[in-house]
Amino acid sequence: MKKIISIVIVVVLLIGGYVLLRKPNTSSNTTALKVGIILPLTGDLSITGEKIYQGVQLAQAELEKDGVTFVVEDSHSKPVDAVSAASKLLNVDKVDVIVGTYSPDETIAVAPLALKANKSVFSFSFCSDSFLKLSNVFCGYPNADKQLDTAVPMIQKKGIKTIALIDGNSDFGQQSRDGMVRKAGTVGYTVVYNDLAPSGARDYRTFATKIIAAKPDAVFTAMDNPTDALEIIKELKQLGYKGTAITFVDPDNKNLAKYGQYGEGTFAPGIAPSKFSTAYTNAFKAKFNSEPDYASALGYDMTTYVVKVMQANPEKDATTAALSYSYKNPAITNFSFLPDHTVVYQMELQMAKNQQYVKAEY
Amino acid sequence: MEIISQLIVNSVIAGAIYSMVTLGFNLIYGTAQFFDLGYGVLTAVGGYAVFYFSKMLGLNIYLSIVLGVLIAGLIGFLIEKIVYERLRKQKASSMVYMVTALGVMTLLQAVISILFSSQFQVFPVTINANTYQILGGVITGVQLITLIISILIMFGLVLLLRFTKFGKAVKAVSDDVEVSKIVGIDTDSIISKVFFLGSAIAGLAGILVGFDTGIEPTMGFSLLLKGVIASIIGGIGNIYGGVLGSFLLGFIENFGIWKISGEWKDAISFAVLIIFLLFRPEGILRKK
Repeated sequence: MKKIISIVIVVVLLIGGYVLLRKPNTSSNTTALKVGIILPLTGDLSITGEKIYQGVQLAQAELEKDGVTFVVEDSHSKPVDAVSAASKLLNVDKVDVIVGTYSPDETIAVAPLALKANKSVFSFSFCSDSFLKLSNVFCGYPNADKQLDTAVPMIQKKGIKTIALIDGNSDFGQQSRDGMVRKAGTVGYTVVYNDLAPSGARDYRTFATKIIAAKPDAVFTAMDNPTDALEIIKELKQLGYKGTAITFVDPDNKNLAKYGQYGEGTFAPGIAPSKFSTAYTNAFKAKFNSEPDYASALGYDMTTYVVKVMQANPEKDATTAALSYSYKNPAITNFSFLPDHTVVYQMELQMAKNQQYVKAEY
Repeated sequence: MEIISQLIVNSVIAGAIYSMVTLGFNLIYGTAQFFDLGYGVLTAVGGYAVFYFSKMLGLNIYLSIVLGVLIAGLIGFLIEKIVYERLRKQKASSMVYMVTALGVMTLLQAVISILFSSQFQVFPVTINANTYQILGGVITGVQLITLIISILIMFGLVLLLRFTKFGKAVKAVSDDVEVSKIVGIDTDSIISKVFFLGSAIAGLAGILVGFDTGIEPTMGFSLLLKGVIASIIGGIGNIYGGVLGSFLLGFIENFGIWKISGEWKDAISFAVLIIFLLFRPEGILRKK
């Protein structure tokens, strides 16, 4: 009798142990994934970082139901902190993929670490030329040249012959400046002022004075922080500048409103039209009580796309699988990647009118 | 707009902002005898207090300014009472003071970021939206007010230190704390009042910068750096020297980048600082 009871106890323990210790199988066709998110949630780039994060949160709420886990880290808008975040995600959290980094500088800093760990980085950065050697990096925006092309008809139609360039001393600022310099010959303008400015300087009065002395028909500024770009335009207008203002920034109506009359008429090239899928628009409005924009939609699509790609192709690495994946129901129409790892989206030139960015007709 | 006139105006505006920071910093350094690196963040405290009262509570902007200045002063006073006075009693080394001050700065910056986000903010209204021409250079109403206030604060401080009992006590504490105690001066009380006054000036500087270019939690650090450079150039602890150093720094920075890239602005400031530290560490007006 004792022997039978012992056998029963052992069997119960074995079955109980198996039930308790086995890995949860949430879905028959789903692989449990761990996604590392790196975003500039504080610091200079947080205006866009927070918007992207809104989209990521929407995606996260949907994907967590499939057993996908997310670890979110703040880069503080600094490449060095982005590297610390990536190191933690790759070595401690052991994530399967990194979605994030926003500025090219952050992406360039993080990519080698991820490559060493054989992981891909789906960055929200524009596609910098510096990424050409980074085989594991995808970009959330096309390169500067493609985006700046949307400003060309306006420049020609307004008869702009001289342009002043004042750009941030970062990969983004320098690539944007180089793009404008390359276009000068073909579009038909001359660069009469070309300078780099530190981010967050706040006092751009002497930059503005120098620009006015160069008498340009238009001023082009590409600063990592949209606030810096608008501050430069404000100081130019305070000094009496009457020419065309072009800021190469993610449009943000709230930020624009802070500059009142000084932001009016400012052009923003390479912007995605604010038209997204109905499902995404409704979900966004319900959660955040505001209209979605490209940055948040990109956050949603990039996160969802990466997870779906990896779930559908568990045997392939994300870099290979991402290019051939057909993504259903994206927020951004036809969201996919080109062979050069650039995201595909329709672009337009926008203009600040009545403190709102709207499509500029040229 | 004439270019040279505008450069002069730009330099004077920068000098006026730096001098406000320098005046308070020098006042505190003179009495407490340590580099208060936490001082810069009080500019952000003043700025965010005005933002809170005027934008979030909808109070009158001038009342908000008064409250902002008082709150910056009060927080500076409390930091002195809670933190630095204890360190003084423990006879802490200057390194301990400096690390503590850095801690205070980081803590206050973090609190501001948590309460208001780290994004740049502007006040809902301005105190003067006009622009004026001075000798062919353009100056905005806010910048003109900043310039006038910085001059008024300098003269106010000079009068306060020269002609009041409190001012004489401050000078005595600056000269020798121990002797001041022997002659019956309540040195802790004097230092606390100086912290209130200096912090209120920092708060006012932050508010005026806020009206000019907006506010962000980290705004104080760069202002503090420039204030420290100006203090060292003019003569650390010397009120006139601080003002002279501020305007000199404003001119050096703005004329320095006239023919070269603006990226060099900060490099020029620090190069000047190094030159002074090497060849005249006591500054222009401080006696050896």
